[in-house]
Amino acid sequence: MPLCSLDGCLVATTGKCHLNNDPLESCPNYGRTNIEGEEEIPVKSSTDTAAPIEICSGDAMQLDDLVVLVRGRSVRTVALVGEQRAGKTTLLASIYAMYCKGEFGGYGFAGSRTLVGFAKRHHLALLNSGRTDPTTPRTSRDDPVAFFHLALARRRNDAIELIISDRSGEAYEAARLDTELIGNLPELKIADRICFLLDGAKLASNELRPAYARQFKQLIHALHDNGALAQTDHVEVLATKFDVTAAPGGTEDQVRYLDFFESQIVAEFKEHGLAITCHRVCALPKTNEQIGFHGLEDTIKRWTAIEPLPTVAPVAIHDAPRQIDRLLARTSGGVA
Amino acid sequence: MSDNRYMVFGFQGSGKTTYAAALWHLLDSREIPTVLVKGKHIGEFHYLDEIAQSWCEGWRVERTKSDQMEDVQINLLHPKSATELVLEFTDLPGEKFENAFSTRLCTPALVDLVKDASGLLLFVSAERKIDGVTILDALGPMVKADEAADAPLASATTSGREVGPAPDVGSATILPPAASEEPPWNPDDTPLQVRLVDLLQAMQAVPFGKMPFKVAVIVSAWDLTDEPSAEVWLGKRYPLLDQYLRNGQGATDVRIYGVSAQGGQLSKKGQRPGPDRERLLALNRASERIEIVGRDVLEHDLTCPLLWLSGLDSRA
Repeated sequence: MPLCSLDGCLVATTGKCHLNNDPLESCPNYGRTNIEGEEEIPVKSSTDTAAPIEICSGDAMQLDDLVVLVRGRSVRTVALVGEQRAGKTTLLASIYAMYCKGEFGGYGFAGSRTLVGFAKRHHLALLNSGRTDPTTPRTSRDDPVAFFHLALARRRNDAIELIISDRSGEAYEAARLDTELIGNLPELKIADRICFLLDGAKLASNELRPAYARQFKQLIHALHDNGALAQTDHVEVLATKFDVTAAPGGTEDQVRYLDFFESQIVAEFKEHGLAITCHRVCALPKTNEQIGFHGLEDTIKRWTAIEPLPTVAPVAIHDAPRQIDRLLARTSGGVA
Repeated sequence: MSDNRYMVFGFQGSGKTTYAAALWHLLDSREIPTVLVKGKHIGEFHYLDEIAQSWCEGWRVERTKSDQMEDVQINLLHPKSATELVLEFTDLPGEKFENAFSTRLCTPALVDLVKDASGLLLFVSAERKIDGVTILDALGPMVKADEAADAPLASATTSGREVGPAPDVGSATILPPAASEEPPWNPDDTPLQVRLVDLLQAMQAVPFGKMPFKVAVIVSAWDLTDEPSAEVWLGKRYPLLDQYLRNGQGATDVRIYGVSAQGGQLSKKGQRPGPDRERLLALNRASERIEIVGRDVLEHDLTCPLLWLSGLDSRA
């Protein structure tokens, strides 16, 4: 857009009048275009007219974003698996909230590529939301699997990169009822740890408990029998909403039943060759002040625990023809 | 001559402009000794002079044009090493940063500013209210046991709206989820420390691609705090930011300073004078209104953070 009707005047780019008028407004040609009748368009400053540039979203990642992030990095990936309202998103949001208050579980916050995603999941627990009871936004069944990133460090430049997946419980429910759909759960293939969230509130309900307990185990069986747990190093059951289980108005039976159910799970799946550990958490203590935030710190410690290094010693060769191999076999305890 | 361009980063009301005004007066008046002194008076100083005027008169310093980036350039001299340097920064309106968080868009000028910066002055204000308070922090567990699960467990929500009769299911009561009454997420309600960390991290990514640099955190309105040090204050008030700066990969080194650039409580020009105005105006040397605390600082010397950012302190 020319600022001056005089041919050859570069005032629009140089800011200097070709006829050396100062101030520019004193030039009769300044502010006029050389096309008669053309409607004048208000001139904007360069910062207004330049196209804005997009910055990273900070939102939860999808699988493609995750592939880029983990390239060349060592990450720990945890898949949260559970049916609707089991507390997957609440657990995520609470872990984020803990680091907003300070160091937690022996780690300090060192960064997150998904801070906006965390903030979106936690905003209904903030006082400025206008609510009086904290909650977590429900994950839509239409949303694809989302991955959240946390870098946690004991000291500078020594961070553990934690990836936690979250998706709507309906997808897991559907996969339990139609195992063909298990292939649509890519988070299970890349997870180092699969965490089945056991809804403590449903388990505390006399009406819902029988069916829910059966369906919960059915989901683990479905994934195990179809090889979806084969790639993972750890499988755990995390009983959520422990404040409801141990609510002051509740009964000892609720906690006893949870004890029983956990031991039943461990034994049942051990028979099927699957080692499962059981843990408890209260990520949003709404009912029992004494319980408070329970089990979150242990969860972080478990998820970030140092993994034993893989064995790289050469395997002993029986009746090795070379002397060096026989020697190696002896020193490594093998039989030559 | 070593060129050091520092980026000044902070949201609205974080004390950026007041710092610039006080710094200009401190250097230009030469009232008290400073580790960096004013170099040659070459450049364009309308903006600096305007805000320094307001500062001198004991009024709260305010940006006059909220939509513009004001380029500030001050020639400095480090007498100990006889090194000349240029302090160049752009006083960006806080809205630029806040908009970048909420829209995920920024101007090309802001991108260039980040790319060119050799250090960062990060401003947070001790005057700002705490915004990350959770409902549980404020109100405690107030929900009854049968309302606790994430699925609505009660026959009525907190707004009083009936969602249907609650079946008796023993010790807990569970209903199908009610129609959502959840307000949508508003980026502007996100706690400040989360927004700051998010934007600091964004600087490491496309389109900025910023390499890690030194960060000097300026806690402005320091006179309003009673914490023993700025480090302690930051750890208590902005723990996520504090952890990120200590552990994250965005900063090569961090120092935290408490600064009271105006020296007390002042009001806007045209309003009733602030409670500390008379006391501050009575000081013979206006530069003595300034207070700064932190590692290796002189009492009133706002150039100490700049000296540290420049690295000249270790070379002297």
